[in-house]
Amino acid sequence: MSGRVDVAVTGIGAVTPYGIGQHVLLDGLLKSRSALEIVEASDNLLETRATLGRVRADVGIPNPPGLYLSRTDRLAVVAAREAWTTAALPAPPLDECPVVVASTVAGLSDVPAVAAVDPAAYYRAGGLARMASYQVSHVADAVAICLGVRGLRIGLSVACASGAMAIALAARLIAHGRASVALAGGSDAISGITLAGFHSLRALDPEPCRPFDRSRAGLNLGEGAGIVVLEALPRARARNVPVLAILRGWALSNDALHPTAPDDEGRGLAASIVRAMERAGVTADDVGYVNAHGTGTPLNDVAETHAYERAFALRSTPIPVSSTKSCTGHTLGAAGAIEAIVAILGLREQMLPPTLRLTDPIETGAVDWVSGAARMAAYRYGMSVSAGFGSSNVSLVFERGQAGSVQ
Amino acid sequence: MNDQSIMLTGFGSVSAFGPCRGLMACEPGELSRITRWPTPGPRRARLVPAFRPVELVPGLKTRRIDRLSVWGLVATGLALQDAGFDAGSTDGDRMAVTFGTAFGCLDSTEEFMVSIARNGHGKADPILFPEMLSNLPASHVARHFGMRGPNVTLACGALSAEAALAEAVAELRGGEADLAVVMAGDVLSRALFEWYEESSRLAPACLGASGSLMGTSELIPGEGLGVAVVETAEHAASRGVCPYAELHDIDISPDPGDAPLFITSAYTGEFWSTGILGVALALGRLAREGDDRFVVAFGNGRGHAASTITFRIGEDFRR
Repeated sequence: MSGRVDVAVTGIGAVTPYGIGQHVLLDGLLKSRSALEIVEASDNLLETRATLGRVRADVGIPNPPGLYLSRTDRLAVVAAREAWTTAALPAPPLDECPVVVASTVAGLSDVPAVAAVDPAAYYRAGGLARMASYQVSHVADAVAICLGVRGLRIGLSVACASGAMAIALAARLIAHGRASVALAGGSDAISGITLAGFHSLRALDPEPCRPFDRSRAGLNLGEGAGIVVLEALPRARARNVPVLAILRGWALSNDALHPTAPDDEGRGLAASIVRAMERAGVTADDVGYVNAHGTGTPLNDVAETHAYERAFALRSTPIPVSSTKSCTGHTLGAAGAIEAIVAILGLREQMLPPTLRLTDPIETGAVDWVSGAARMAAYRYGMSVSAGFGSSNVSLVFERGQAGSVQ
Repeated sequence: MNDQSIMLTGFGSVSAFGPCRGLMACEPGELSRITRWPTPGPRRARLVPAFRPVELVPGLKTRRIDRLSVWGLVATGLALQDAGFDAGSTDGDRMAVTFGTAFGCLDSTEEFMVSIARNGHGKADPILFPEMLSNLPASHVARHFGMRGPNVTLACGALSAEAALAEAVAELRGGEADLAVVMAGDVLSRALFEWYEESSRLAPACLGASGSLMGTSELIPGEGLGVAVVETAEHAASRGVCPYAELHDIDISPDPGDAPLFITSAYTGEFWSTGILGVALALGRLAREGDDRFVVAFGNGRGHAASTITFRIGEDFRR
């Protein structure tokens, strides 16, 4: 079903392992540079070698009165400020701007595991305010308070599909006339909890990851935030601001199969891709690029490849696909939003970002693996697809905006 | 009624009143003593009593699943029974799950953190890790009941339940699903209870003092989870199910006006995401009293807003 109001993207903000800002992200992708770093056992809570995508830039923001900002909150606020500036929105306070921000760990990024052994003792030692940032909704609260915007604040947590789903939900608010402008995205900091969790599942590759490669051995954790400004297209045109992209279609689905493993045939993900294209009113041949979920885990990447085979079966040529998690690591709740921004930047620059270290790809006739280096190409529609633990899938279809400026 | 009408056709819950199918017509009982973790003295709250899930939902497997997920599975099973749902009546692709929770799976999260603190980051429990994710309850429900449509977990503090209900309505009205299971709930864990205690927010009755519980302004923590089955009027009619009510509106505002208030936490204890249980209780009490009017459930919106959920109860609806 088509939305009643077209949804424009007028602002983007990103904090990634490349640094702060969309420009350093774009520069890294254009230069096909990895932002991952190998961390030796001595510098790592796991006490074993790991590869991580850490944000080295300073994201220090003073705590507003009465509010503790976790690292996850700070990443989100920095990205949101850039998005706000990009969109040339008026200085806050701005009434009725919903804030939809996803996270998986939220304030848990700042809480040590030992806090759960004797919580009262941890609180008495000064942890009370820190624990108040625990709720996922706190990230949206932090963004709204720090930017001075009023309106709905929605927290979202759907594992690694979170950031993309936040964008879809905010887009629906605009499409259905419930809002005319919204901030949406995701944020997650690397935490000891997630490091321990993915390590326990044997999902981490200690070396830089190789999404879609037959020798892939797991993912690399990263951190960051991606926030977009979504706006009713007529409102954006009335403000005479550049439209970076138009979010034409989105769809959500669930495999309903397993807590951590995807459907090995990729049926749920394919369903979300097909429905998103239907909503966008585009055919499989219209799509020029897919930014993949592409974690680098053995199960995900083969299931995802099958999803592309299903969803693009009627296409006349293989669909160009890449995973930029090979550049940034897997930023969990932020990944879907950061990768949506990558898709938007790719459209704007008419560029296909690469999968790094992909030298022996999964065999399929359906996919044109973009590997090694960024590729320039003329295309009008780009997609970003995300999936996560709990079997949720999200697909977003963007159309190139009038702000395209090939460098 | 029109093509945008949304019907409430089934309820299920797990709360201090135990598991319940359908509307609730309960009165607040005594507080329960906390025994799940060591306490410095008697500590009390409104706690979910022990029960056997498989006796309520045949075939349910809940071993090593987070308590919140177990409640979600049980309450969904009861709500679907209440809605007269036949698994073959609806395409799984057209069934959605929305879940509202302020804190998510606290039990598994705290257990996982304790395992890290005791064994080190490199030796954590792989079963616990996914179970601590906030969206796992909704995922378990989707898997068990074959619901392959949108699956969304929202965290909006004390408005989490209302957000989940609003999300389901948007999905149904937007044509993304025909039927949605709306879940909302939270568990009371050691870290949360001690946070309340260290913040000096607890009612004296929670700390062992005697006295009246009604009307107290201090916090009495609770826990539980409510499920509502909502569907489009067309879909409900096609199944031949008689709804409890038509959803009229969900509004977030500081002033609920002169509509009758229903303070859910007085019955269930405060656990933030009480909204769906509030609807089941409010509808249950009004239905019992034979009142036929709009019902309002009222929640605390983090100090700056309140939720107002209004319904139409028709003469031809279920009682």
